[in-house]
Amino acid sequence: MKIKILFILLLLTSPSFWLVLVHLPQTLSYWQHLPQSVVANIKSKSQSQYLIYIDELRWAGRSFHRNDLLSRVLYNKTLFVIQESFDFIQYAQPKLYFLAGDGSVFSPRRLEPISSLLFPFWILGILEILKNRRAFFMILYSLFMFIAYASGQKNLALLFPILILNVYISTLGLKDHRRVIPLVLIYGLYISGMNIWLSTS
Amino acid sequence: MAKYFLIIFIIAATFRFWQLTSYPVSLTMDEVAIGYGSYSLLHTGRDDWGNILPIAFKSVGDYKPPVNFYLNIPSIFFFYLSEFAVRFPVALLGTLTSLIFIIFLRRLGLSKSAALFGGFWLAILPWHVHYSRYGLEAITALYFLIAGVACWLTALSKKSYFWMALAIINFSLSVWAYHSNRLFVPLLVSFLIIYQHSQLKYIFQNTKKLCSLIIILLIFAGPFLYLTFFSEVIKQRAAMTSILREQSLLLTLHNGNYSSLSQRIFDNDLYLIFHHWLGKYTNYFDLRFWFWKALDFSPPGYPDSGLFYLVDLPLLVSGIFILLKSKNKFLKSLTLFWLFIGPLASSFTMNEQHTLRTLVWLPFFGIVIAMGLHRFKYFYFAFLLLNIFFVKDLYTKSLPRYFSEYWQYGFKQAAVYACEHKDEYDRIIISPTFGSLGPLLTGIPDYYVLFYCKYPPQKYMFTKKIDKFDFTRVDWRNQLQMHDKALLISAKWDYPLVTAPEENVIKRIDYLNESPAFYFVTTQNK
Repeated sequence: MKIKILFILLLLTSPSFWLVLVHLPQTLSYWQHLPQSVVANIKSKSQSQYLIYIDELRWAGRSFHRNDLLSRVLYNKTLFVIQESFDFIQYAQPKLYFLAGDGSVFSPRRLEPISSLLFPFWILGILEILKNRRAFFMILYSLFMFIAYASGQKNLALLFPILILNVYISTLGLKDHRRVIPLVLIYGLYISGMNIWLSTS
Repeated sequence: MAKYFLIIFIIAATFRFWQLTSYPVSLTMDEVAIGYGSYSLLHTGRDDWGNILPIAFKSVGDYKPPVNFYLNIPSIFFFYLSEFAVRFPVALLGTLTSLIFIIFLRRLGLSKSAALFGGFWLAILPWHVHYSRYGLEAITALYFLIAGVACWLTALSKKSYFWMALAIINFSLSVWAYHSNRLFVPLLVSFLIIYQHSQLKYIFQNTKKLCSLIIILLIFAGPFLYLTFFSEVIKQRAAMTSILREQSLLLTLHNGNYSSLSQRIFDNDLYLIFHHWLGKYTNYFDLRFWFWKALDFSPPGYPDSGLFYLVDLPLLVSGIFILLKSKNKFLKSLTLFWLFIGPLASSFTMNEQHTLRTLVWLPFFGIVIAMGLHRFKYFYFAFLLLNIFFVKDLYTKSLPRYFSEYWQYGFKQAAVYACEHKDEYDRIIISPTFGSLGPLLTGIPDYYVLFYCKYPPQKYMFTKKIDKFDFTRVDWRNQLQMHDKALLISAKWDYPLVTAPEENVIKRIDYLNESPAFYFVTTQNK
C-alpha cells in the first residue's frame, strides 16, 4: 500500500479529525482568538506559582533561612525556564493524541483522538524521522507545538496540525508492518463507529 | 580496566553509603518488617509468623518476596539488628549493579568507553541511588536481571553450560526478588530464546549437562509455579495492586449489564479496561517524568528530580540516533523490546507513573545513554556537578522536610522511648494512625517496637503479642478510667484539648517540617 493512501486512510479513521471538521466554527474561533490567548498566557506565566516555589526551596522554607551561594546557584529562574521547556514538550505528549484527548468537543471522554494502536508505530516513526534527520519536518512540528504552547491552551483545535503530523509519523512507522495494517484499519473503523455512537446517543 | 572498575565501585558506593542511615530519614514499614523477619530467621530458622525457612514471607496485608529476607541474614549477623544492617545488602547490590552493568553493556557489543560510562552513569543515577538506599527488593531484582542477561550472552558466546546455569540462577532470583520481574523476566527470556535460538543449539549436544540445566531450572521454577497456581501468595499480590481494583475504572464498568446492543459494542467492559490500561502505559512515555519530575523529593508543583539528570537528555537523543545507525541488529531489537516491555508490568497496577515498579525499564535507558556520550561528553561533564548538587539538595533538605511523615518518621523515636521506659508503665499503647493533616495514614508500629527493642522472635511469632504493648487508636477518656499507669503514644488527633491536660504530656516528637507528630501522654500525672 502506498504511503499516501495509508496516511489518508489512517486520517479518515481518526475520530478527532472528523470532530475538528464537524466543529469547524469553534475551531476557527480558537484560532481567531489566538493573539489574545497568547497575551493572557504570558501575563499568567509572569505570576506563576512555580516562581514562588523556587524561592521557597532557595530559602528552604520558613524555618531554615538559607540563602547561600549554592542555594542561589541551584534555585533561580533557570528552573522556571526548564519547567516551561518541559511544559512546551508536553504538547507533544503521545497520551494527548492517542488516548486521553483534551476532553472537549474535539475528543469526548473515552474516545481516542487517533487510534491508540498507532502509538507503537508513532514511536517507530519518530525513530525513523530522527534517523533520516528530517529537519524541516521537526521544525514544522515544533512550530505548531509552539503556537499551542504560546496560547497556553491544550486543545485539539489549536493542536490540529500536530494531530495530522502525528498520523503521518505513525504512517511512517506502520508502512513496513503490512500484516498489522488491516488490524489497525479495522480498529480505526471501530473507534469511528464509537465516535458516531457517542455523537448520536 | 580493573582501575576503572575500582573507581566506579568507589563512586557508586559513595553515593549509596554516604549517611545511609540518615537519608531517607526513617526506616520504612517494609524495611523494619524485612529486618525483623531476617532477625527471626537468623535466631530461630523461622520467620516472625513461625514458618520454617519460608519461600514467601507473610506480612501485614500481603506476602513479601523472599530474597531480601535471606540476603539480610548475614548482614544482621555482622551488624546486628540495626538500620545499617537492613540497608546494607541492597546498598551493596546497588553498588555492584554498576559494575555488572559495565559487563552487560560490553556483552551487548558496546565499546569499552561506552560501557564504562554506562557503569558510571548508573553509579550516580538518582533513580537507582534513591532506591538503593532503603532496602528495596526492586534493586535486588534488577541486579539479578542484569547479571542474568550478562551471563546469558557470555554463555552463548562461549557455548558454556556453566554460564547458562548462572544465567538461569540469576533470572530465577530476579523473579523471586520482586513482583514486576515476575512478568518481565519470562517475557525477556522468551525474547532471547526466540531471537537467539540458533545459537542455543549447543545446549542440546550434551544430554547430561542439559539435564543438569533442567534440574536447576526446576529447582527455582517448580516452587514458584506451585505458589502461582496452588496458593494465594502470588495471586493475592497481583489482585491487590491490579488496575481492576481502581475506583476510576470500576465506576465506568457495566459488569455485563448493557442497555443496548450499540452500548455492548462501543462501550463494552473489555474496551474500557483496555483504554484504562493504555492510559497508564502511555503515562510512562513522558519526558517530564524521565528528566524533570518523578522521584517526589518535593511536593507537587515544586522543582523535583526526574528519573535521570537533566544532562542525560541530549545523551539519550544522541544515543537513539547512534543506535538506529548501528549495525548490531540484536542490540537494536533488544533495546526496542526493553523500551516497550519495560513499563508493562507497572502499567497493570494501580498508581500513576510508579518509579519503583518501572525499575526493570532502567537498562533500556542505560544502553541508549551510554551510546550517546561520545558526542556530548564535554557538555555532560561540564553540567553534571550542578545536576548532582541540585538532586542532593532536594534529597537531603526537601525530601526530609516535606515528607518525613510519609517515611513513618517518629515511630522509631516512639519505639525507642517506649522500650527504654517500659518498666515504668503497666501498659503502653501506640496508635498506628498518624499524620500532620489528620489521622489519615496508618503504619505498623508493632514492627518498629519489635525491631528497635530487639524483641525475642521466639516470644512473638506464635502469640503475635508484645509484653505490655498494645497497638490501637488511643481513647484518652477510656484509658483514664482504667486506673493504672499507661503510656499513650499517638498523634494529636487522639487527644482533644479538652480532655488531655497539658501536664500529662511528657514528650512530643515533631516531624521535620516542625509540625507535631506524636504526643507521649501518661494517664497519671508526673
